[in-house]
Amino acid sequence: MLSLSPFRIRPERPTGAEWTRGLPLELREVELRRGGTTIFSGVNLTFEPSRRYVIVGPSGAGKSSLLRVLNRLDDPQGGEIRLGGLPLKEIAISEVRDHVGLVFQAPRALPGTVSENLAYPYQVRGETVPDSNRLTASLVEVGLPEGWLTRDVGGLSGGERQRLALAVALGRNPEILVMDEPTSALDPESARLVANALDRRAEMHGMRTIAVTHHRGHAPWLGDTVVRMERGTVVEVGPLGEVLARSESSVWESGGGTGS
Amino acid sequence: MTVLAPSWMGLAYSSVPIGLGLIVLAVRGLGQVRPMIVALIRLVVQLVLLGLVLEWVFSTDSVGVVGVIALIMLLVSAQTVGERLKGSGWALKVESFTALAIVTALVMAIALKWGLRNDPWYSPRVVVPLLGMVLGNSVTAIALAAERFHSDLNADRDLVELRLSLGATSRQAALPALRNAVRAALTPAINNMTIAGIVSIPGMTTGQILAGARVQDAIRYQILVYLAMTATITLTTLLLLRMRLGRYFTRDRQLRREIDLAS
Repeated sequence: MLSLSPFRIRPERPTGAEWTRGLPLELREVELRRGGTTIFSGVNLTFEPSRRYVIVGPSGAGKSSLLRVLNRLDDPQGGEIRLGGLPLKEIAISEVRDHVGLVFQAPRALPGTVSENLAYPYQVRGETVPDSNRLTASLVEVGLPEGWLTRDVGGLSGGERQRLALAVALGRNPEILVMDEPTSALDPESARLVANALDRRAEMHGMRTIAVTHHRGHAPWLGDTVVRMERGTVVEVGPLGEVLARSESSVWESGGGTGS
Repeated sequence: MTVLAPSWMGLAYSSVPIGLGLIVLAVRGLGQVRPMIVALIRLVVQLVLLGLVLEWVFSTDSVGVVGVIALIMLLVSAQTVGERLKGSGWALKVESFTALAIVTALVMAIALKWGLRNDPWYSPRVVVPLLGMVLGNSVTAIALAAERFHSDLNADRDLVELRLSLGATSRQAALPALRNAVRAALTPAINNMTIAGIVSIPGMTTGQILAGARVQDAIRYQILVYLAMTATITLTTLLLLRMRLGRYFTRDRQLRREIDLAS
């Protein structure tokens, strides 16, 4: 529709509810369209506090797009997402982004140094950046070398960027961490280390994680509940072992897919 | 020394060199003969028509006529900006018109009232050429800004959304794109001012000197025009980008898709 509203005085919605920790995130009949295409529809899911979820399914099933509605980079056209009883849209967007971290698939880093990337979430909020000891600790947590704070991100490999993105997202201790193929560029040893770091976060801070993966071997490290998607909808939710035993090989792609 | 304007016979003499050029182009089969002739004819016809219009406008000395002409100039400018960015639809034209109208009104008012102490303030002999110079440069500048902002946001979509995910506001997430757009818009103006009087003698100074004005007067007039042009370019760019920001991002810090922008 033609819209002639360039006169938007306020760039942001002024008010919104606060985020309450420890509530389930529920998706009810959620539908996302883009142009004339339906990306996914009829999605019903509940992400409970402190749980670890793995989303699997063939490329084009809508997995990556599903992750994007959880921190409201996109809003679904149909259905509703609620935190406890409260619609996600009624919570202030700054609160949502504070509490739902998102690690993109094969992420680029922000131009600059490693420490500039780690500092960014604090700077945009006008907060004091943690000292270099704490920044270094967050590097070590994901298996990156201690002395890398001043390193330019231009020289990082895919796996290093993946781990840096994770460290940046973990920095502000999100209650929900959403990850798109977080271990796709990692060797088994690094993937294991990252998975252990996520375990510790879950135990210590009650962080819940939702990870898309194509790696059959990595799935058990990343979670215990599997959401299986196909052709734009959720076809199965269940304990990892059961779903793994039943699912056909099409769910898994060797070496990780390009995603949807 | 007497200053004389060229007569029609003088123009005929002055067209001898370009006639020679055309003959060589034709004889050697190098092309560009037809487009050059068409362009020359258009130049003469367009300027003669402009002369007739201006003569009439100047003779009326009416605020209404000046207003209508200013409105037409603004509409054509906004239309030109809109056409530069494919698929931008009506939005960019409306935004450009708004930004140009607000800023030129402010800049012209100050230039006419206090800069030139024009009497009457709307005297078309001053308003129309001044507005023409101010708008002509601003159109290019804001078109460059809009183009750069659009292409940067699309090329670095992943980084913009990464910033948003890390807690940035829309403005913070778009800051690198905004900076590049501002640079694209302001660089030509900054360069022009830097070389003015050294590499180039600005066209208006040349014109006034040829027409017999005092050199010092022509120079001060030129400085005033640069101040007005640069102010208009800067302020329209800022205002337009502010409006563009609200179009590319939702109020909930989401970067819209191109598909939604075009509709």
